[in-house]
Amino acid sequence: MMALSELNDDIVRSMYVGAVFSDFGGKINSLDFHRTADLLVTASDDDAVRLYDIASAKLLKTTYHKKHGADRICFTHHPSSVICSSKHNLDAHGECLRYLSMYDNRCLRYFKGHKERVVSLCMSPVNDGFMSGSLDHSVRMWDLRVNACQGILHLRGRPTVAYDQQGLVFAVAMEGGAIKLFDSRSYDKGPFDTFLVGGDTAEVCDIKFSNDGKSMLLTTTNNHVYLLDAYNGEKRSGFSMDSSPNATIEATFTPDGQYVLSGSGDGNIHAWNISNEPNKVACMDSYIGVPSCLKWAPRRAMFAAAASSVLTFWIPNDAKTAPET
Amino acid sequence: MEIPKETELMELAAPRTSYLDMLDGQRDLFQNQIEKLQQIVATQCKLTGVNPLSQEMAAGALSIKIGKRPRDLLNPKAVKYMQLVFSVKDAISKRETREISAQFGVTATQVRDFFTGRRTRVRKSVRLSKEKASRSSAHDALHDETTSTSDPIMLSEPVPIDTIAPVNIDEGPSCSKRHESFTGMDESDLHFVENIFSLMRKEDSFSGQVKLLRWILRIENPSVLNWFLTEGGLMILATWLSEAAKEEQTSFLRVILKLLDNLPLRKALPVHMSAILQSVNRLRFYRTSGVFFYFINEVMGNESWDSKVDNSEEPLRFLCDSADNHRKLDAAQPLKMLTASGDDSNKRRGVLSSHTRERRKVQMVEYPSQRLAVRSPQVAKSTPATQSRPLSADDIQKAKMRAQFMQNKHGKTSTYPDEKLKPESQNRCTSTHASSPPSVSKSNVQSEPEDQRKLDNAVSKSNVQSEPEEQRKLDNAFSKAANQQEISPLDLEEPPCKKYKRVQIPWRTPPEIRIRETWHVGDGANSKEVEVQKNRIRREREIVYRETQEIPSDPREPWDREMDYDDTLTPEIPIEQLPDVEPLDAPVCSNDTKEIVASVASTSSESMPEPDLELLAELLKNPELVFALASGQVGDLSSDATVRLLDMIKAKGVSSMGNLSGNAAVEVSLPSPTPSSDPVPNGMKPDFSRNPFSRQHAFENGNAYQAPGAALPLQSHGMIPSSTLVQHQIPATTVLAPQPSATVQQLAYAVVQPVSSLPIQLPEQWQAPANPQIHHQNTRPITSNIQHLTTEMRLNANTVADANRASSIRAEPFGNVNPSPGSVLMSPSQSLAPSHPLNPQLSYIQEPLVSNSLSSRQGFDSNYHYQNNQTVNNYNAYAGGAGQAVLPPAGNWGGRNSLAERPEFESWSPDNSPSRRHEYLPGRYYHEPSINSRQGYRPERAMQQNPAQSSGYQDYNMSRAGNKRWQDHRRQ
Repeated sequence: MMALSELNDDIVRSMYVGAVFSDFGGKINSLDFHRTADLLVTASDDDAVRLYDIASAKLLKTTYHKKHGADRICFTHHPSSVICSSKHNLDAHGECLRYLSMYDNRCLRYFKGHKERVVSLCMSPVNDGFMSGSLDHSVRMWDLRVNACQGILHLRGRPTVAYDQQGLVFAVAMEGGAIKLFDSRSYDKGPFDTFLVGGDTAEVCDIKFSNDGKSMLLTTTNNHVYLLDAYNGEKRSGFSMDSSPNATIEATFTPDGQYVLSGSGDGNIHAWNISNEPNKVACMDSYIGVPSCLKWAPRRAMFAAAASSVLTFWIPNDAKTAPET
Repeated sequence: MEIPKETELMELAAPRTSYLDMLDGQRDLFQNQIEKLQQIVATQCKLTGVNPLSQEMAAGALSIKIGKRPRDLLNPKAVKYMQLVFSVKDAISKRETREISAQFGVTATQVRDFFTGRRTRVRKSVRLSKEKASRSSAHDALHDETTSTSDPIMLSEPVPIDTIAPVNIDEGPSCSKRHESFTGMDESDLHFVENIFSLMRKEDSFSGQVKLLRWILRIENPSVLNWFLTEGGLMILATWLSEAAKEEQTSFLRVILKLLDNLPLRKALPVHMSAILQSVNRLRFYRTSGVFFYFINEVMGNESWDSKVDNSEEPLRFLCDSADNHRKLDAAQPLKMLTASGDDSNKRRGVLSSHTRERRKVQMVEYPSQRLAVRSPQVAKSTPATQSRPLSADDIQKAKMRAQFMQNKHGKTSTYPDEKLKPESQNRCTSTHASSPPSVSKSNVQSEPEDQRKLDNAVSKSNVQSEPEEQRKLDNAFSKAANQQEISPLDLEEPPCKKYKRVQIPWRTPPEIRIRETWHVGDGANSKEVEVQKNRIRREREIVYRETQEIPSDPREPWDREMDYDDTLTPEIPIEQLPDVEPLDAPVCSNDTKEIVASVASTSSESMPEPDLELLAELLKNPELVFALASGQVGDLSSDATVRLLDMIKAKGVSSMGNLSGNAAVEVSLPSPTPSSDPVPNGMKPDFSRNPFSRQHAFENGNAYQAPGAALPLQSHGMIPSSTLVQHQIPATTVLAPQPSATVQQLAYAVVQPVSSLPIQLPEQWQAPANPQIHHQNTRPITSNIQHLTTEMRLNANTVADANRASSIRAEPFGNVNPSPGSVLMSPSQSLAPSHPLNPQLSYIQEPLVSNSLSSRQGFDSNYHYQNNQTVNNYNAYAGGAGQAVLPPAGNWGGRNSLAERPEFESWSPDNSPSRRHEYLPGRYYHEPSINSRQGYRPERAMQQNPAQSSGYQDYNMSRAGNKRWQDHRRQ
């Protein structure tokens, strides 16, 4: 199949469920794509970490982590190594983050420091640095190669962290919808910019940067999605999704940065074309309820959506697009 | 010999063959025994219709451990003793239980069970005898339809003793109401209405109850059914249900559930509904949920159970709550909650099944692993009672919805018999044979437990439906069911899993999306860990689990447990944004500094063709000098002056280059003002002053070094320019006294600094002696010197320690600290552009100039003025620092230093005359540095880090800047 350089409205509209995995024993907490390889990893409440091949839609491996649990998960640059945050026994061991190898099912390193559950985890796109934001109101900077924390930010509220796709900048969201941007090479100097979104009560639970570095996508716990200019923080658009009690939603960019997709409390997946003035191009039934995890694959015309204990892979439905085009 | 051998061999061989024979014989024996066993099993199976091994098979398939382990068996002694005890009393206290268990090595539970079992048995027999009496009367009352139940065998059927006798019956229907008008009521209905309740209340054998249930099932008139419900039939059903659950009357349970299915439960009173739900909930513990799931699956809706978590959890929670309520109810009748002992119930079951098999085929439909059910009462007990909460309106609402759901559900599930009958175990065949031929025909031998369960459900359903009217109605029932399914509103609530399964399109590898190169999306190119992992993986063997069971509960631990790091050392990252960076602050960013450097270079009046390394080296070695330079503003100073000054410095540096000590000396030179106080330096200085910029100075310096007065050389070295200045000043100064002191201090400081730095930088501490000398000479400042010394030492230590190259370090802090002026310093360290050194000089001189000019202009009026000025400056700086909030130290120093330094400053500032500007400048300037150092160092000390130091400097610079501004202001 030809590689696409960008998506169009028809393709986005034609996205359809191509694979379903319902063998989860509990809620899917998080999922992450590998940046280059065709891999997806999930962490779920059955304390399992599962590795999928997204080109063939196959479950490759399952590992269990009964002792620590599996909450947030994030790929490193190596295709079989992941970082996973713990859900159980945080007090006993303090092993809030684990560096795991799916290759031989071994824990490679524990990262201790957070006193509470980690709610946000992200890996630097360029080097071995990664960041975690925890309910203990701190963000910690780490390096995969050493177990010592490289830096700590104390802040108020629930922290959310994200690197931009170039690894030059990272964003930390804190209380009151404040987004602070740091230079990832000299973060010790403090933030160089601050954006505010959503008012005092806003609690940002997810940040994403587009591949072109121009836009930022913020999702709040009350299901508002904000599209920001990543350079000046100017709000380009805000989408209010239906609320979903006791579940957060997630929004994602497409790899070409032209579209934004978001889950919604009504169980649909909404898609907007953001190349100019954002306009909605599609509203798809997720078939699985309110998707709490929604991520577009970094290098494929495919996205993964997970709601409670079902994971779905969405691909363009060629049968549907063919007649239209 | 040969023969014996032969014989021996023979003998040997003979036994061998005999061994083989014996083996064979044994094998045959075993074979025989096995065959016999099989035959026995087969016969038993044929006779009883139950596969005697079904339990084991089911358990094996379910991987459950069944049967009594040796230690679970009561030893005969214990049994005997307990029987003895039981003959005396039928209840046993906890303590006695414990005693018995200790005495005979059985568990307390076993003892308890034994007693309860005994009790049950005795009570049962009592009950039976009573029943026989009552049955005869009930018998007569029953109609023809139900008379069939009352054959002799039925009478001998074990009947529960500990049933919850229809306690609720009182709130049941009163017979007077029975004659309400019913629409479309026919003969049979009428009869039903008239008799059902009395019969139901009377009937307490399961078989009789089953008949009654069937009767109710046959009623189709909805109004009659409603009447039945509202009149309290539901309560009776609930009671029966719980009884049946306790007695493990599976088939009876199914009939009740079936009936519940049929009844228009949505019209039932909430109270009744909750009662029935409580009973149903108890089924959760029935046979490890076999029947409960039947209920859930069949009645509540199969899909909703396993797919829609939200849906299924809610009823569960509700049921859970109601269960607890129910338990409370039960608590009022403790006797009835008696748990049946294992043996007992099994025996009973055996009897029951054997009796009923012939007549009531339905009864055959039993779940194989009966034994599991034995423990169910305990399980029920063990559930937490804390969850209980009163039945709320919400619950009632839910109950109603549930009822509706059940109603809708009905048709759909009853199609199961058709679809899923295939797997059927042998014993089922025989049992179902009579009642439902269709299913039998499809049955094949297979004893997978789950299938069995389904089958059970299916069979029981079909049985239930068909039996009342025998086969002929069977087809009708199914067709009816099918119809119902078609119109079932359940389709609307089709669970999502079905939906996505249906909508799913065939998988195709999604097309790749190319990401634009120009975006530079990261791909981990700088990751070192990738390589590490690649290498590790080459060494390690990949682990793949073929079975889910193989997967360990946890991954393997790391090869080596790493030491916990000290989290207190984790650097804190500020989350507050720095204020908009002014050019002054810019150096904080390396980028910015570069820019500044560039600009400085461009502004420099005189740029050297190539970097002046010597000068650079001198500057780097000499933080104070850098300081001074940095403090100045770019552009105002005449290029001439700067160049000269730089040259001078360089000259010193060159001379000092030879030995490291020279460096120290250079540093000393900065605080040059000291010479004035020192006679010897003074003497030398005049010369310097005359030719401040000539190489001679270097010479002089050299001399100075050689001179016994170590202090002097040191000073002279670095300070030549300044010293000369100072000297000049001195004459001019009106206030001599203050100045000397100031200078002394400076000197001391200067000296101190080299000394302090030396230990670290230079192995030879030859300067150390110098210090004392100086100190001696300047008695007064000593203390201050010492202070300086200490601070300096620390500072140096820090710097050196932090970066092994002192020079570079110094440069850095400066760069960081001084936005514009500092940048100059930075530049040397970063890039050796010639212009930079010059610039610093320029700036340095310039700054002083300004102040000088100011002072000159404003007149020598008075010290006061200067003082004022100075303070103002400080103030400004402080304010600036605070305002900019660049660094925490700023505040500190502003406050502290002003005290110590100002006086000195004033003292000699008045001396300044325009003519001596630059000379003076150095002095003053140096003075300032000292101040700075103090101020800066303190914070720095507190911060204990280089950056801190730099911050101190920075503050200083800022103060300069402020100063300048202030001065400008003045001018205007």
